[in-house]
Amino acid sequence: MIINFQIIAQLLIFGLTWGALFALTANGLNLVFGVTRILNVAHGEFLMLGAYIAFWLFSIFGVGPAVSVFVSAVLLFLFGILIQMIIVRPIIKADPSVEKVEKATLIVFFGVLLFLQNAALILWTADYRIVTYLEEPIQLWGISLSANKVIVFFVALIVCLLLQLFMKGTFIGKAIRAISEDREAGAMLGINPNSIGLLSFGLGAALAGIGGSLVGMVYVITPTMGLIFTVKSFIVMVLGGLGNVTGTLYAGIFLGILESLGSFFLGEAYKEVLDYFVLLIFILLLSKGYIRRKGVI
Amino acid sequence: MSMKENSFIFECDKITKDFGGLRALVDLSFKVLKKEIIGIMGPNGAGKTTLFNVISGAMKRTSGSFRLNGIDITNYKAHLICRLGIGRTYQTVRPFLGFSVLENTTVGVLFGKGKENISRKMAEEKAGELIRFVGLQGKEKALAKNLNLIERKKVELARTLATNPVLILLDEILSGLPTSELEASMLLINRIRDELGITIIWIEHIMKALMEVCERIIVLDNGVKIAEGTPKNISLDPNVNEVYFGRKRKII
Amino acid sequence: MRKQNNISYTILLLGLVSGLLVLVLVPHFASRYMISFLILIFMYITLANSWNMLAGYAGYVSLGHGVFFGIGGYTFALCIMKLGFNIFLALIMSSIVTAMFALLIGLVLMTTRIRIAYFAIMTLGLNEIFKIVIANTESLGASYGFTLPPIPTLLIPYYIFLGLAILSVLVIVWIDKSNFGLGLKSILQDEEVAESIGVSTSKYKIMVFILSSIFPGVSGGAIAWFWSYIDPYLAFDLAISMDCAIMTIFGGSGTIWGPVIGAGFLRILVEMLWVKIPYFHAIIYSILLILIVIWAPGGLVELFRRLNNKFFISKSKGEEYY
Repeated sequence: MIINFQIIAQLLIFGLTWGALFALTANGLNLVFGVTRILNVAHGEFLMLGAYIAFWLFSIFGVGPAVSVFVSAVLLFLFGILIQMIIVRPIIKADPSVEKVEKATLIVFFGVLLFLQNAALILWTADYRIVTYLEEPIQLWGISLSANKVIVFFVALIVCLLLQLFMKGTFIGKAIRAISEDREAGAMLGINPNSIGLLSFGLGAALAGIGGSLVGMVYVITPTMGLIFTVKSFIVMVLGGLGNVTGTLYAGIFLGILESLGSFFLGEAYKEVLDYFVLLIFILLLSKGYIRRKGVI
Repeated sequence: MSMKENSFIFECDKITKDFGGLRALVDLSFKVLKKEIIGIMGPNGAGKTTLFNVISGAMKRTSGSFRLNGIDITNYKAHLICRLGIGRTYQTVRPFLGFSVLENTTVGVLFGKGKENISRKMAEEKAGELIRFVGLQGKEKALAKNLNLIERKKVELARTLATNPVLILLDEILSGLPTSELEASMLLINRIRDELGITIIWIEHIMKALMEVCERIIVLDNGVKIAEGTPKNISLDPNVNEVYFGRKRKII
Repeated sequence: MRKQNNISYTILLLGLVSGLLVLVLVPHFASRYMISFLILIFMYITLANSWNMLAGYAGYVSLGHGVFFGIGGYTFALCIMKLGFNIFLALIMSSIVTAMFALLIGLVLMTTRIRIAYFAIMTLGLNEIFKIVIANTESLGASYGFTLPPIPTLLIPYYIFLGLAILSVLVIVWIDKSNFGLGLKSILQDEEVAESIGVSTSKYKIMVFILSSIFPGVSGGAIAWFWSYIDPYLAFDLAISMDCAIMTIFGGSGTIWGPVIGAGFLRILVEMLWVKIPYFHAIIYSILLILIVIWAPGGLVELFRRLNNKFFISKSKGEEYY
């Protein structure tokens, strides 16, 4: 194995790009879980939809990712709200206790996951799709990178930073953080937790959609691509901390670089195993108290 | 009255509990004699329930130790602590809602102290006795979720008693009860000690009840023990008065 | 009323025994198609029951329970192809290896205070990761998998699966009635409180986790033998994990007969519809899953009970006991 500056730089950039993507999608999951305590196991399917939106817009209309990112965001935002209204609301109405809602939504979203995956398989078949856009390499400090990877990195990073600004700077963002931390206290301050819950679902789905459109630029698009992103988003969310946008960004980049190095030294197939191991060890350390976290794990 | 080492059923030595930057319990030490009823008082946030969480093993303490009948149980897991003889009730009343009164109590018998390999039938018989003790006879088959507050408290109590404890931690067991029920409840607590021989540590906000029933009261404020003594001494204690009334004044 | 209960009990028992007798004799008369159909129903009954042990009784929802199916299948295939074991030894190995994995995973996931949601997604991820690793490892067959020697007769797999199904029902009955099961149910009700009344929650959770893993493990091995084939996409198909869950929930999670009813009902439904669109059965299942969680979370068993209460008013004060 030849290890030189070129290789390391490539690995780092690869890791950073994927890391930013992981952070982006993880933030979507984090947002929903933080506000509603509902873990959307179908999160990756929203990403998959975003990827297909980018693909179809590009293949049919020649639309570049710059536009499809917006289209995905809007469409998935609406879709997320729709799902919340027709599926989550009735469950909460039937039995609002936290444990029952947690379990019921896990199963229901499992159903959503399988529905979307199989609907996509029926509609678009299992054929691989790719978006060939800006694949020409550009030279940067002696390293050759494909332009689309660079764009993906920057867009993902910018969206993460915008999200951070939104959460800290705007009223709605602060309302979201308030409800995440303490639902009742937030309600007493006049914030409507149901509306915030609805909004966070839309936002979370939108983030997944944006992530998906970006992923579609650098990765194969298949109907079953979503699941592994859900798992990785979850890992990043746990590592980064519930409700912690900055932490999620760092954790995402950490995971991206870890995978990059992992796939180089251990082989492509084992990077997921590495991710999972890291999660297991992290959870063990958390429960034994070696890592401190405020609030629930 | 001689205070021999081995008549202390429970000893707590410099218990400290930190939650990140917040120190909930500070160097808390006290001893409890067998068959005493000790009251724990203090304003909200004084650390009372945290103390119970630490003693029962639901949470790990940061430093310090505590002993049950001389055995150091400081880092024991909750189920072991139960098997050794400490039971507790919860401020928020947590019977198993999907279980019947009988099932709630039977589980306690089956998994509590000293009842390995007991048959279900015998466990249910024992459970029946305890259900009668708390006054829920006739309601054995009712589901806990269909019971009112008082009944739920009784189920929880029956379940805790079923685990055959030597020491019980009662957490604000009178809260939410109408005044008409207070006398009966205090009587029941006395019966737990008198008839079942169980030592009681009792957190309560209703001072009148503590004053009437307890032999000794410990007062906590911000995790610190600020007073300990007989109800009379406590009511005269200037520190306690300051905490509750903001100035040095006699209670009741 | 007692006498009536005794009579209906006896009738039920007689019905069960005769039903079993029929099932035992069927393969000698039925068509290949019928036998294969029954084998699959038995397999799904076994899978659903195993999911019920973990989720219905202990409250731990696994969204990747199929991982044990795959592990069992691959253990079987490897034992046959690489180690030359005979069928029964290979099946025993399936159960042992699956149990070992369950123990290892359980030691991490079930001794720490983990949220149910985390457990769910981690089991989901586990299934996915096993799939990816095996698909990329040459010595484990990679994505091509293994082709196994064909089965000599349909009778043996039929009886194996019938036996598994019956055994899984017996284990569920045992869990439902035993003190161990009561401990599990208390964990489902309120884990922290269960621990405080003396239930050794970590131990119980690991035990039921291992128990619930062995059934899919052996099933995976047996089905690999039956189909004479295994590959990672089949063995770790998400549909298996979903089937366990929906069949149990549809029938009634936490009940003795729920999974059996759910598995039977849903398999027959899909067989009757038999639309030629691929992936269609998964679409139906997922929609049914969503609907049943929203409208009748207790499944068919609870629906029957509700109807029963409506039409046959309870003799004692009309108080709703169930």
